[in-house]
Amino acid sequence: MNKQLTRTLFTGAVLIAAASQAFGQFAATGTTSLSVAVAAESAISITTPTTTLSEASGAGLFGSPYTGTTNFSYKVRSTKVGGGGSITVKITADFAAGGPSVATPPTGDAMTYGCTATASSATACTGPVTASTSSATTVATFATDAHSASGVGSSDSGSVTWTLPNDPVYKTGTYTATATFTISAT
Amino acid sequence: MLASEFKHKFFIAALMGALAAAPRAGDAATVSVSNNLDANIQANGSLSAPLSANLTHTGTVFNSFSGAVSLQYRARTTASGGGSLTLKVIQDFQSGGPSASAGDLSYTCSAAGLGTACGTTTASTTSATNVVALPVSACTGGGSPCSSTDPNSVVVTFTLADRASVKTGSFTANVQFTISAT
Repeated sequence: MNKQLTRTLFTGAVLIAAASQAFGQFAATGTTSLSVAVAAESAISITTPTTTLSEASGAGLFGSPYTGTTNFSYKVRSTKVGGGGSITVKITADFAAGGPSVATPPTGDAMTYGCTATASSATACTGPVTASTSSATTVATFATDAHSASGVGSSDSGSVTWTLPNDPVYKTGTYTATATFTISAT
Repeated sequence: MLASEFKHKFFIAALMGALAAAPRAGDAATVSVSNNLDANIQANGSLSAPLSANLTHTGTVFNSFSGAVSLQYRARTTASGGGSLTLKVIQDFQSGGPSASAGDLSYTCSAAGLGTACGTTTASTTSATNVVALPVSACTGGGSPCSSTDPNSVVVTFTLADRASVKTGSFTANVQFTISAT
């Protein structure tokens, strides 16, 4: 009983001591330390949600592939030492049957893309890169300690220009595929 | 008269005189003394702030960091005075991190237990900015005309911009709260 009482009193004393340390004493001034842990982060926004692939004007006679550009903006912060990151793209919904195909294109008809990255924070892909429905392919990479432009509202930008061969085997019609961009940073 | 007889009679006479002069049982020996007690009640203020607070955020898409600091304070102001509870960033975040001097740190206040709380305000490293404005004849505790609670409290919620240009790591700034009353 005495031991239990002693233990209870001791616990109470510790709690009171902890509480008094967590809060400063009453005085004319008081100082609080604000701590923040800044980690690697990344975010991306596609600025052209729908990209239309079209033939070059006047090309005709299958002389020009279908092309179109998807623009995006992004923010990145990678770890000071040993960090990095990337922007990748994966075709998550292929064109409908009868049209072009990313997963199983006719020979020579693979959809490819090239990349731009306007900021020094990223290294853009060297095209042409073949798009894939089964794996994500690289659009841009980030080095360690990479940072997008300063400023709360500012961001960097980049683009992917798609090239889809114009094969007469495709049936006429409108076909849609979905490309999903993913950004990551460590 | 012999000297010894004289001493004996003198002692008896002195004893009787002393007994006659002593207060008898039932007599009141009352002495009244007046003294002025002047209490000089002056304006005053004190506060208590937590020693630390963490600024955190959810997600990884450059949402701002935020954290709340609960302040307790007591104040008494004169009929012609007033007062304030202010804050100042006395030590900015370390180099490479967020910057209060660049305007990254702002705050807003909950309703104050006594006085008028701040709106959204950018914290400063060069000047104290308002947290609570204390009116004239303000006082803490005891109920009307003072506040009903003792101590009074106000919650200061800090918001720290999460800029991509900031390096990764842990950073700390010190904020000093000051209360004054006249």
